[in-house]
Amino acid sequence: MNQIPDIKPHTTAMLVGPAAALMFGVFVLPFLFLLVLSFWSQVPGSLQFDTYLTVLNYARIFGDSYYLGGLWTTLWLSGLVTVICLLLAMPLARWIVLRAGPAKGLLIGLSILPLVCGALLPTLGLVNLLSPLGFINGALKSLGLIQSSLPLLGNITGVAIGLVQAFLPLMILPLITTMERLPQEYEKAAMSLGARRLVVWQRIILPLLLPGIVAGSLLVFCASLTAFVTPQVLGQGKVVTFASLAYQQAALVLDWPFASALAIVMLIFLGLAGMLGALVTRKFGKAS
Amino acid sequence: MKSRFSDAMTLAVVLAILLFILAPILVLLFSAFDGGNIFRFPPRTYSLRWFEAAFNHPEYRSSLWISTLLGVIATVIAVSLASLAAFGLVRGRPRYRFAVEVLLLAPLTLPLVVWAIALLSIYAELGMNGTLTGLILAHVTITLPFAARIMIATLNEIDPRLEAAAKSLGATPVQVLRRITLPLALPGLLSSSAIAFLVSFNDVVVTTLIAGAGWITFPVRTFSRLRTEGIDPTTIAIGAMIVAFTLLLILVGQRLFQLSRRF
Amino acid sequence: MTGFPYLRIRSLGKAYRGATALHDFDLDVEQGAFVALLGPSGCGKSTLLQILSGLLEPDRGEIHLAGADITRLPPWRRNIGLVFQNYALFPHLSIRQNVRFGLDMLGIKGKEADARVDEALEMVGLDPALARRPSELSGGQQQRVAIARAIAIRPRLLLLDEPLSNLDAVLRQKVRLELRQLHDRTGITTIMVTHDQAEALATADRVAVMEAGRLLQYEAPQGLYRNPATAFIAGFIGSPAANLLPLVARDTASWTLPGGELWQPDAALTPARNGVAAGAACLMALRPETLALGSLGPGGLPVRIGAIEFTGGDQLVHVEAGQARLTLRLPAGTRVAGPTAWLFPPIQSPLLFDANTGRRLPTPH
Repeated sequence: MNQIPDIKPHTTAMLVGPAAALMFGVFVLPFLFLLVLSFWSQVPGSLQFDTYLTVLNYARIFGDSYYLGGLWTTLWLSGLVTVICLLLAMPLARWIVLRAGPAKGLLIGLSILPLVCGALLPTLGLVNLLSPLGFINGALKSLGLIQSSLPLLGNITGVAIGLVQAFLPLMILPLITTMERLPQEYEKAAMSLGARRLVVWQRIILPLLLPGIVAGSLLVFCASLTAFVTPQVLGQGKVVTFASLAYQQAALVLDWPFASALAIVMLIFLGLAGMLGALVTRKFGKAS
Repeated sequence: MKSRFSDAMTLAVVLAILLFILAPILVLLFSAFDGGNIFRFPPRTYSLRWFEAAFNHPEYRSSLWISTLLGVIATVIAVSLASLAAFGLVRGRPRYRFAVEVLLLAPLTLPLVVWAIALLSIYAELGMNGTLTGLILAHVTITLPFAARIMIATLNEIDPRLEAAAKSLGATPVQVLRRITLPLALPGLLSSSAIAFLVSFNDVVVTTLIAGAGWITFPVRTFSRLRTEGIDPTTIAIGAMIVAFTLLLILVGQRLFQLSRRF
Repeated sequence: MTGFPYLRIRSLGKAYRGATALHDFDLDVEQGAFVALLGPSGCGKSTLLQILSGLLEPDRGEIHLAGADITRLPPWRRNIGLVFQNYALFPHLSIRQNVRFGLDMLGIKGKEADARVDEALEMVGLDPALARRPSELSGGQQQRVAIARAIAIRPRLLLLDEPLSNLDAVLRQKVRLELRQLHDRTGITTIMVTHDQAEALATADRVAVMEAGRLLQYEAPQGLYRNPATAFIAGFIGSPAANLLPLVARDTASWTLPGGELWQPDAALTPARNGVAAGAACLMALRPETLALGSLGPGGLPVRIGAIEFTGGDQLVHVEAGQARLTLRLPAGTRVAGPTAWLFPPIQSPLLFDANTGRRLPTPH
């Protein structure tokens, strides 16, 4: 490949400029504004900001067991959802890459469906499946497996199911991308050198898939941590997640400085998750 | 024999996982035809009455119209901007390519709800809350990364030597673009348009925060009703239509231009 | 069991989605031998390699190695070294860790493992202190690591899958000699899969020629060259390979060339002398290096001179005899005058094949 660009630098800048400017202005700048805003406060009884800098918003979050509880619930829920997504996506992605043959494209297309359907519509279907009079409870009852309905809605179980369903594609896609770049010969070579299947997974497949696993896990964890539509609908207001607290403050209470502080706290945990991911990749990706 | 059994087991597990992904969507499709007043699956009786109700409901009609209008405008702007930028990045190979790619794709990884809270406050300061302009800007921002990703991948796959060959045969830059680059990039353009439209049309996270009373999209209306009144069959009927439309677009896109390969 | 060969393959069969990849395949390999599996792509040679290594299960047949039935043994219990065409070096492990992998699996640890890694790397001509990742090596070096990794476990059998195909032409010549020398030093029974006949002839003790899942001929390189069992093999072995001239016996003393021209050869080459009845069609294998050109004379084949390729010490002369095209290899100094000439095959009993079956016609005495 030649390294000489096909178009001139100033033409390139003109082509790239509008999109880059839009993303910087409308996407990046608000994050900076958010940081500042989180140190402001609301003038009581109005939508005016008091621009005197204060850490009161943060003190409120970390001093109130309601918000701390929401944060804790959200963190472990997101971790749980990430682990379940990984366990489900791994066999599915591997099967699609190795065994699906001509159906591969179609299956990838179907698995990304929740991603393009938006957060809301699939949860409508889930409400129906999970409700006390819904399909799952109905089926279990008519099979005689349960006497009274299992509580699958309005609790953490329902929210977890909804989040896994919604964000599974975020795990499947990076796994498929990583697996497709992994020749089958590695596994065969390891087996010919005396490695049993379990050892092949442990020492060859998992280390080589690690970038995909970390990328997928980060995407799912971030998405779960900041989800509020699914928790609100399937939790029916009874499950308090951090993002729904932020949503309430922003959309209903209209205390934007406090909502901003909640949002910044979410960002901090996402940053921590990202750092953890990088650390894991560094530690296990290279060493034996 | 043993391997055949484990093959069957693997297949069963895989199908179960796929079913789990698709079940809510299938359920929604079926429930829309329920003749009764309660949302249940499988339906006891079948009817189209909720579809009629949905079309005769003025609020839903206007919401669907707003969603469509917003989706089309956002898609046209996002795909145009993304295509130009992708062309510049791939063909111009500027030194800042990586940085700009990160910038353009950032909304795919950063939490939209956090951003929407910020945008809401900024719009309030600028007096843009509840305006169509504000809504369009927001939707272009959330759809552009999808379009950019697909267009960068598409253009990367087009061998620049094809364009060089056309130039050597006497084609002007405009002719090269029209007769070589555009036809080759068409599947990518259609894929990114389809995805961008679906993302805009189905978005609830961002829109519910910044849409004022004047521009209520269908997902926003559904979400607010859901929180206040629970699920009503009319919502299900429209939801089913949207899901069916989405499914159709994905299947057609897959068949015509391997949409999933570009994703 | 006495009298058993070291590796014994019997009636091996394998079909993929209805297509037969291996058909009733038999092969015996003596301990310490270097055998080449030669054939065009899709002939089943790679399938055979996969079955030998245990990565693929055969539908039928048996494999015995050192007296034990290994047909259903999983790959990790076979102790058979395998070198892949694309080397398949684990990218997340260093070179030493790659070579050490098989030793870990055998439970060999510490100093002994270190010593065996050193030994294997030295054996393939690599510096044991090389502390790099596979991706930082050249193709040739990667291949050495792959071989070192396979021999470090002291395999009972070493399988090489197209070992030279990813190397450039110069390196290929060098490495094929090194492969032979490595084999002679270690004494490991080796089976190499290749589609390049020159590679097979140069390296192996015996060559098994395969076509469409069957074994056509299994012989030492010299025997394969002198006595090809079928027209397919004759047209495959040698550089360039033998010309296959389609002929129809016109009467006892002359042949009809493609295009209808007449050829009255020397007595040794007549249909009658070779037991071909008038009207029968056959293929005569003419080795490019045994043919000569002359300006006039009885027994010659009338040809038109075409393109001439200079290859260094030799020249390749392309000629047309009737509608058939033939190639000659002549010393570079030989003057070739056109546009027409007479071609003279060697006066000895020719290699003749049945035009329909491709089988060798019996040589009469």
